[in-house]
This record gives sequence, structure tokens and C-alpha cells, in this order.
Amino acid sequence: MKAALTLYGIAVTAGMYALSRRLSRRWPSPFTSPVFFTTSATILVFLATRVELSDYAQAKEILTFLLGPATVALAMPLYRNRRLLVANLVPAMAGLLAGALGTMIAAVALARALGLSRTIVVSISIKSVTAPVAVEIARMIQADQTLTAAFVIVTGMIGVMLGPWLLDRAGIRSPLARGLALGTVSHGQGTAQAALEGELAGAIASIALGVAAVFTSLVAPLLLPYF
Amino acid sequence: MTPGMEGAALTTPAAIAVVPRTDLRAATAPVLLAVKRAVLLAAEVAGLWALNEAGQLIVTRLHLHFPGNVAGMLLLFALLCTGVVPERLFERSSSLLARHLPFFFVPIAVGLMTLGSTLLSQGMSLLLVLVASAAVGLCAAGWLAQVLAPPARKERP
Repeated sequence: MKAALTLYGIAVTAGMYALSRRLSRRWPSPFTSPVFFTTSATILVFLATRVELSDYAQAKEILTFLLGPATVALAMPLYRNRRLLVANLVPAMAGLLAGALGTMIAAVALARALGLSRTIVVSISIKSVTAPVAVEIARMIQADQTLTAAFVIVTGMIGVMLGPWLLDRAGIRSPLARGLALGTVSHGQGTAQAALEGELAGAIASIALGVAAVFTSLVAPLLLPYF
Repeated sequence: MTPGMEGAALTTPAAIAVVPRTDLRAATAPVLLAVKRAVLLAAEVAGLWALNEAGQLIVTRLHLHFPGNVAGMLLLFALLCTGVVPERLFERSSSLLARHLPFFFVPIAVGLMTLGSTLLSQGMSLLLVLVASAAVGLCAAGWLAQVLAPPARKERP
């Protein structure tokens, strides 16, 4: 029974993921993006078929096994675009640190001002980091992994929906600055969006995603007592 | 088989037995290639997995407050920079994993199904925090990078 439920959980997740890839190709939108669509559709199917979250634990264990290797693989785009980073070291690093720190401090300050619980404050602080790293930091700083994953996903969607418009409004036109901002704040989805704007923006965004992940990994545990 | 042998293959009894065998080989060739690719891909992923484990080990042994998978990533970056690992070694697996990255963390977000009511009651506050903090980060990063960057080449006369 347990094995059957596990298989069912895997099948539903994989099926919804395959469907989301088709949908996002046909109707590109943050709401058909694989992360958002697969998560919500899987939850809906589980609710409709009365699958408990505990029934899914084993499936989750199996499916997230490749998250570690996938994180290690992020070194590849970083290595491939290293010359771009070296050539723009000062503006790229300054912008990256300002963006990563700025968004973290803004999130924590605002969440506290709104009286949100400490678990939420801690979990929302690392929402701009790419998901596999964010859930790992969440484990270290006693945040809620699920909440963090959700905040990361929504942040990715915000970057796609709001990012280009906001950057236009703020008069940020250089592809380097735009790509850097999108990659730093909205990780994977922001990087995909930046890649649509151009090769340079996409390349710098993929660097920003990786370096911001390293930076936040270092800084989040240090800042934790002040959250 | 040489083109001239095709006619002979149909007439000589000894060759008749050969024809289906080569057909079989031709038919299995794509399958064998696919198997070979899959094995190579699995080996690549196993290599990335080993690097991840090495990262975890380094972090635990040195009592670092740092995610093990990020340590694994930095390890691979160092190996690439020093030329110990050639770039093409993880070419296929890294692009495959990056492309399907969402699939691997969706199961964690599915945990939201039990947190739904809590989140819905605070939904507006949470959305406000996420949108405002993203806006702060985007503007800070974009503005500082643009100000500090040397002017674009096309702006020169």
C-alpha cells in the first residue's frame, strides 16, 4: 500500500511536470511555468484523491535525491562565464552584494513590521536564493523548508512579471545591470527572463545566481541573530 | 556488407543466415547507442553526486556553517579552473539537471498543502513582503551596477 502510494505520488508529480512543460511552451506565462504549475496541480490532485502529505514523504525523498548533484552542476555556467565576471568585477560584485543584502534586509524588516511569525521571517529572508540552495540554508538556520521553497518560487514569478517593467521605470537599461538584477533577486526564473533580453544579460544573470547563492549561504547564518 | 554481396546473400544458403543477423545488428544499433548514452549520463550524474557528498563531508569535518551542496559546487568550480576536470566531462548531465531543476524541488513545495490555511490568512502580507523586497533588490542591484559600469561602447562617438 505504501509503495503503491509512493509510486502514485511520483507518477502524479512527473505527469504534472510533463504537462507543465507542454503548457509553458504553448502559453508562456509565470502561471504555466513548470515550478508553479507542477506544484499547484500536484497539490490539487492530491487533495482531490485524498493523498495525505505523509503518504508523499517517500516519493519526496526519491525525487529530491538529484537536488544535490543539480546544485553542484551550477558551477558549469559560472565557469563558462567567468571571464565576463572578471571583466566587470567591480560593478557586478557591488550590484550583486547590494541586491542580495538589500532584498534580504527589506524582506526581514517588512515581515517583522507586519508582525509575521519568526518562522516566516527566517524562511522569507533567503527567498532570493536558487531553490536547491535555499532549502539547504533553510535547514541550517532552522527555517521551514516548505515555506522557503514557496517563497523562492513566488519570488521567481515576481521577477518575471514585475522585473523588466520595474527596471524600465527605474531607468536601468544596460544589459549588464538588468541581467545582474534579475539573476540576483529572482534566481533561475529571473535568469531565464534575462536570457530572453539578450545573451549578455542571460550570462551575467547566471553568474549572479551562482555568486548570490554563495554569498547568501555565508551571510544568512551570520545575520540570523538579528532577524 | 559490400553492395555487391546483396545479391549473393539472397541466393547462397550460408549467407541467408547472415542477412537477418546483420539486420538485427542494424536494428539494435540505436538501442545500444541509447544505452551507452544513458550509462555515460548516469556516470556523469554519479560524479556530480560524489562531488556533492565531498562537499557535505568537508562542511561537516571542518564544522562550517555552510551548505554542503554549495561547497560541492565551489569544489567543482575549483576543479574546472585548475583544469583537473575538463569542461566537457559534465556537459550533458549539467545541462540536463539545470533544465529540469524545477522538477527536483517541486516535491518540497508540495508540502504547502498542509500550510494552505495559514498562508491564505496572511497571504496579502506575505505577497507585500515578497514584492516590495524583490523591488528593493532589483533596483539596488541594477542601479549600482549601471552606475559603476563603464559606459557602453555604443555610446562612444
